[in-house]
Amino acid sequence: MNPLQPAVETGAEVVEAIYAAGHLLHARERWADAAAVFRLMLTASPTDERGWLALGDCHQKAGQALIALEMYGAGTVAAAPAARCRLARVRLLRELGRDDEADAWWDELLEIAEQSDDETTRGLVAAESECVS
Amino acid sequence: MSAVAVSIGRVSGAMGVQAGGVTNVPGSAEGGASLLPSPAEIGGDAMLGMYALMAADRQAGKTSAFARAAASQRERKAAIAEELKRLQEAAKARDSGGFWGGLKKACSTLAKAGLVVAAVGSTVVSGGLTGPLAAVAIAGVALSAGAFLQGETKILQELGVSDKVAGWIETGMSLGASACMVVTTCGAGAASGAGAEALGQSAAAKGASAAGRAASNAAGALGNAVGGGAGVAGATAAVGQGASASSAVQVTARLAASVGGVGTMAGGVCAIQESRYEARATELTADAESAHLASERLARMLQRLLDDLESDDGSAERAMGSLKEAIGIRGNSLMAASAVRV
Repeated sequence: MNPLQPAVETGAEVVEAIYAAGHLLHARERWADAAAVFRLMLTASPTDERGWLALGDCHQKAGQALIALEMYGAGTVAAAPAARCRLARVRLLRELGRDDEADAWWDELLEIAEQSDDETTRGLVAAESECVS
Repeated sequence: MSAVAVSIGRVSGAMGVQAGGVTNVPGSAEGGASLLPSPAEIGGDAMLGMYALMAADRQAGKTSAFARAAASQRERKAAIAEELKRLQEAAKARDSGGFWGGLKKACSTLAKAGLVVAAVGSTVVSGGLTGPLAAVAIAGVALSAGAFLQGETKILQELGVSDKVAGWIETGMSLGASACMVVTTCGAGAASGAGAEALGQSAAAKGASAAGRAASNAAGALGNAVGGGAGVAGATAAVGQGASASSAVQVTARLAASVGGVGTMAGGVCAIQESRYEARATELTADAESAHLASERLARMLQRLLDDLESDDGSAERAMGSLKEAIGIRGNSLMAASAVRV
């Protein structure tokens, strides 16, 4: 049995529509409303990295950094390898002054990118790496 | 706590990445790349589907996964009983010199904390989902709802993190689960004594003492309870099955990294030597009977959170209202765009 069997059975298009709705609310900086929509999305599709990323960002924007860290972290587990969630976590840890942890997560992300065939993941990490140079 | 701005905004393209400004370290928030993908174009069928979902949700009265998880007390009790049985079996295996017997004390503490909270993982899972990852998902959603309902600090306190510590530590849900899932995934071949010893040494090198204490502390929190627990329980079962030293080494390295993360995460906690946390650590390193008591306490804590959310949150209603509004906004935008094109 799929351990991440969705709590609400929906098609991929419906999930996409929910995400679009949440994204729109997010763009309007309505963090609590957007978060509620992303939570709904995650009950339908818990393996969708975008949901965790967006939910974490809503919390972050609402000033709940620790909860945001949890959401990003949950994304790395539920939607592994979840490069975006990892990177978001790295950035937030950096903002919080927790550089050692940020370094560790960044190293993991580098390793994931090196082993990944996914161009998006590699591009994401490469773009971030360029920030260093 | 003040908001921390990180650039996760709209990007062009479904999974596009925007290059950020120049920074000194990877992951610096200032000028970093945007991460949140733009949504794909939505067709009418999807909108109809979403309406159908909303209608079905109202009709069924099933507002959310965590509310549903709170609905079946009997299933939870059965699940806890089952997990307790597994816990006792695992403890027996451990006492007889199994895999965990070779671990350093701190690692052992971490493992036991995981075993303790396994029952809570099943508590959540009984809501219709199965497996530790599903528990992570539900716990994450519940944690999110609780945080918006009660505020970050309060929800952390509610989950057993004191106000002093709330500023230093998160629940550890994902990290705990991550560590455990790594073992669960690779664990079929990880049972050699050498692996166990290596695990102990690596973890110690990564600050396992801190990790052990962190795990004990975080075990009082919903997230770690749900995520880490089931994973470690699964790992315990998994490590008893195979015998591949190379796999064990792999597991060792990756678990040690995760454990190190937990330890580092809880650096602030380690500096705060509160007696209640020491007591909790002692509790969590006790025998299976103590573990049972602790798991019951955690289950009650989780139940209270779920009940609170179910009665007060209105999160699903909020989601539905927001969805309706977003659909309206989007519809108007599309109409306006059509008018412009015409």
